[in-house]
Amino acid sequence: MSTTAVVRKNTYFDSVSLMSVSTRANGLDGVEQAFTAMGTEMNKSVLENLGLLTEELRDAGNGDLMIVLVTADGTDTDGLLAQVEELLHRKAPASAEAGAVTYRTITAAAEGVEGANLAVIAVNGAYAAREARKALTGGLHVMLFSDNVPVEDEVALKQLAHEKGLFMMGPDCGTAIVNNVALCFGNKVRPGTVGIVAASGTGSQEVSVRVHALGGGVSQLIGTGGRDLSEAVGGIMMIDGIRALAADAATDVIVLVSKPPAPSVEARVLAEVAAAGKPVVVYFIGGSQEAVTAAGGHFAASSLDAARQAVRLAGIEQPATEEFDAAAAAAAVAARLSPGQTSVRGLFCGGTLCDETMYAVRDAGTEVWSNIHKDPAHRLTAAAPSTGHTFLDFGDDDFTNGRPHPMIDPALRLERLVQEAGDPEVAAIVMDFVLGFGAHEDPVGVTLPAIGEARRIAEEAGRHLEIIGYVLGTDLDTPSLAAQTGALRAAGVTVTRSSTETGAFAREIARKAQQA
Amino acid sequence: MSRCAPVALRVASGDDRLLRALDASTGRGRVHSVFTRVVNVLAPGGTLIALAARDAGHAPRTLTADVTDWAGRGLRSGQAAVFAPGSITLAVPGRPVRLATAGAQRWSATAPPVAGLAPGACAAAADLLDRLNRDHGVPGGMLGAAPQAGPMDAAIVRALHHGRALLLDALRTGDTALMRQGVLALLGLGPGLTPAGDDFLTGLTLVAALPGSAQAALVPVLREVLSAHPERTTDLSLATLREAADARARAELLDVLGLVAHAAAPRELHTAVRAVLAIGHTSGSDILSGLAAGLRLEEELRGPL
Repeated sequence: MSTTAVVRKNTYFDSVSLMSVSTRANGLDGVEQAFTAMGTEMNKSVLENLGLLTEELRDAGNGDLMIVLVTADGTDTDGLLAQVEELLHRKAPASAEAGAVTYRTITAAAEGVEGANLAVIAVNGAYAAREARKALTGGLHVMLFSDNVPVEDEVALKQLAHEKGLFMMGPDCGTAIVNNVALCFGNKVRPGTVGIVAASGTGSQEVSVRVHALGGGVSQLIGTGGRDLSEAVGGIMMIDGIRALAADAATDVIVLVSKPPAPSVEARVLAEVAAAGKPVVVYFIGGSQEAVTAAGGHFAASSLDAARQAVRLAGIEQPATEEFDAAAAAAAVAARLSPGQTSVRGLFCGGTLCDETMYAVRDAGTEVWSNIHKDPAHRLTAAAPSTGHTFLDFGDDDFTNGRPHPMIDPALRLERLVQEAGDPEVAAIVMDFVLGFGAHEDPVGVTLPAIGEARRIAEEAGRHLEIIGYVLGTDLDTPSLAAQTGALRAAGVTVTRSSTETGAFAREIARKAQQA
Repeated sequence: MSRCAPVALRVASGDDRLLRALDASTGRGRVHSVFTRVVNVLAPGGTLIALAARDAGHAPRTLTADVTDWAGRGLRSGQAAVFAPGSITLAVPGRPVRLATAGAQRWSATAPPVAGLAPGACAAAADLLDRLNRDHGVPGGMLGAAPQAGPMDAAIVRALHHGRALLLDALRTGDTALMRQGVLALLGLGPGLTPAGDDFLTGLTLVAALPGSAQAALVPVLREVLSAHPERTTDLSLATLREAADARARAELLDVLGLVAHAAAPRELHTAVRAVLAIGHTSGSDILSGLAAGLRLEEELRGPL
């Protein structure tokens, strides 16, 4: 092993950025340990006790940033240092960024980019409506990533957009694909003839990547924001989205994705389905078939079902795939469990992925608990310990208060994974890993140490712990789906191929673990 | 300096003590460090002050400007900052930025007294803060090593726990020499811009600096150490600790102390604590650990304040 150090004089990073640089440096090939810290006496003293204080580090001052790399012998340290410099450059304070064109207002940005007709807005919720209104007034479509926007503002913005013939995607809209360009958390998928309108971020991501995996492609993915189909908002954006895709010559099939709408809104949406003049697949998670079928829509019972129907209706031949035998796979897991291992725990980044697995387990007649459960009696807070079959959405407000979304910052989920591994009741832990343009650059890699720790805890207690991982992404994403699933398999994680398959596997393990 | 007309910005609000000091401040300072939402500036006398964007929150030595953030303004560390009564001008080449303080709302950074607490209330508040910290806080500092921590991070955590034990034992016995050792064992310890050891000291000192505290002996010891060894921690931490020794802290901490002082319901405290935990990466957790340790020690040493 050898120690390599970088000292950046008078360099200040906020602690979140510093942690990010440190995490990424630890993930570089050849790095056994990486550590970043200000060059204070006490930090240098800790390094000295570990035998890592080089002469360069000894000279660091309290305003200097130290980066210490412990590498295997023979590693190309010059190459590593260049990569660390690159990480630091990427995380440089805002004012030090070079070459980036920054606009101070939406109006200036619209004027500065010729032909711009869409604004993506991600500001504090208190100012989001004002900025969105400016953009709409200026003739721009809007994708509003911000949440915590009052519903009254949402209604007013959507009415304004409707009157002006513009899209008002959001607030709280994290995924869209517009003219083959993925925005925010969107995935890189093949262009094609399936149009998606979705009130659910990861739900729409899942349908789009499944369409891609089945050989289809996406014409447009229009996000509406999670509240669009509420009574208060009335489905303004979903209805406008359906109409736009119905009129779009490049779209042959429309897919709708949402949690079940308010009854009056559902009636309005289904009236649009009937009038679309194109096949419409309706995936209202946990919704009923009758009304959809009566409106001439194609009811989908799962995200995979929605994608399969859409691809079939688009006239694309689907590749033959071996059906997943969830019952047999679960029986193999159950055979390795110890008495008392009866519970399945789900730790999700994606709300819809959490929902789909939770509903799959619940619909088998099993009680489930969650921070997003509709029934208050089965609802858990972020602070509450898990009980029985628990499924947590780490992207929900209770977990994200004051923190980035878990698709960007996985810290809370990693901690919970290790915690759950110590519970002797736990038979299996289910996790999702979401790829996409705005997501963490290596969601599997950043989780592997915690997975290793969880497995170690269970093994030392003499238990088998089944860890199930689903990677939402495509072969075109960076990192690729294959790289991420390969890393999971190498770590002993059972990899599922879709959100629906994940739910089925979790359901069967829950059944068999309780029967055992 | 450029002769271009400066970009005029309004200071919407600020630390009352700082605003009063600036009314009489003239001379040349410099930009210390630049972040997206905060620009730190060294005033002519060497005091570090912060120019915060609109939603960065109130804090000691901080002015909140009517801007969304500081990105794209060409600000760099080392640029001159010209102080005149009622304004600070940052000498960005070609487009200086002038902040006018007239009409700024004044905010007091002083912690509320907690003298009226009933017996047992300090310990109960400490228990609640510790529980909320365990449930919602971020490991990596005083809460222990993060699951993915390497040997170097783990060594820092061990050193933090050693320093904490040393200092708390010293406070129990009133041994000022040992207190000095405890402060030195924590000062500047931890990777961040405000190291975890300093964050813990900030929370603890804030309680010790409250009127009538049984741990009041910590305050002169801390002041003496900071004065003798300013190089042992970052400039930002140094400023924060000096303010804590005056019972002054950022708004999120004052909110928590205010609720403790009024024996507020746990639900109300929950929201305020979550705001503290959102500070920095582990800073919120580490400050809260210090506050809880201070409150528990207060009860232990002399009962309620």
